[in-house]
Amino acid sequence: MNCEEVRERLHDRAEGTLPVEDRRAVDAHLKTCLACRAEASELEALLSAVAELPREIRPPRDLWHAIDARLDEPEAAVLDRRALGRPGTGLPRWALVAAGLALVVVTAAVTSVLTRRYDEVMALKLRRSDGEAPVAAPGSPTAPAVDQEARFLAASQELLEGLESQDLSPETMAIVRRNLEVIDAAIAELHAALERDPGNGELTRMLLATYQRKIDLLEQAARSGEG
Amino acid sequence: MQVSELVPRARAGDRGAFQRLYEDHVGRVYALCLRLTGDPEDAMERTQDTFVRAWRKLDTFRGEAAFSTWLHRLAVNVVLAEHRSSGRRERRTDLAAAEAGPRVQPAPRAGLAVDLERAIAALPPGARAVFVLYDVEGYRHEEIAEMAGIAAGTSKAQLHRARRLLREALS
Repeated sequence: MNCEEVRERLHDRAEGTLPVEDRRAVDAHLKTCLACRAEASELEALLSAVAELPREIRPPRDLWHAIDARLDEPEAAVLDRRALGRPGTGLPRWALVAAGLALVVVTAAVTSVLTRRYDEVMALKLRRSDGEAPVAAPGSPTAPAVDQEARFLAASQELLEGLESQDLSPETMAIVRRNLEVIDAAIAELHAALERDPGNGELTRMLLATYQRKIDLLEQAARSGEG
Repeated sequence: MQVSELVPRARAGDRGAFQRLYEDHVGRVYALCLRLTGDPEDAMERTQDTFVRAWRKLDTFRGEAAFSTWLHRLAVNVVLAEHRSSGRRERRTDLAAAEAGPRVQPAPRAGLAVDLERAIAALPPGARAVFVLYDVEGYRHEEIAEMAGIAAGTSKAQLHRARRLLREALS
């Protein structure tokens, strides 16, 4: 057995699945070939190291709240990626990418404002829990948030109109529209809830996660038009 | 409360029971997604997708296999489906990497397990998926072939390629 034949069999040997006759021939070769022996040792060391890898790794942040926020979505809200990626349904990449970038920029600003509002509310709560008298948060983040959100919605509408003007299959278009409608409904519900309870940090986080889902959907639609 | 009690409750719409299942299994699912994707953000997204899909498909879990086995298979399908949907993008990336030279670079010495995780993350997507499924998760080539939509021989070739790249990266 030459070196090439031996090296082809080293994987089965390391896994213990090499037939006895082959095993004898490979072992005989390894006794006399330094290079193949080194390769066999490296392979065994690699597989030993793999066996020692941890079976569990906790994610860097808790994912439950984001998952919980998605459990009520109807099945249609899960983007049918195969339909979007199907040949012949190519989307206008330039328009989608431009709209997607606009959304990323605008949403980053909305995120910043909402996060600031959350931080301010938390700071207020902390001061209260320390026995300190409540202090009004500096400035009102509501107006900038509304302004940024209006731009976000306008960019979304622009993207949707861009999609409608293209030669897109009705099935694919229906999927995109259904997903956007579900996400928009969720955003509206979260806003209504925040109106009633503006200091609720959990609602704010869910709102941010929902915005992120809208961006994910639009970015995915943009990607499906690549190539 | 045992998994055998939590699953029927979650299937009946009990979110508290489903949250317990999430708490018990998220570490395994995230580890699998992280190694398959090689990217923490992608892995968190796919972990979320897996649990959302599990919630919707709980009525299809018959209990013949362990819940963890069913859930991991779901996670693999979620990640591989995403791989397929972004296939064109990845092919371009692979081409760029091939022009730039070997994709797997020697990892800094910071403990073998850490080095190995980094080297796995740096593997080309196809080789990484097969390596993780076969060597880490214990799937057979026939199972991998079915899930990934490739031939069993391709799975074996990708495994050997991944092991060779890893040995080079860690040597």
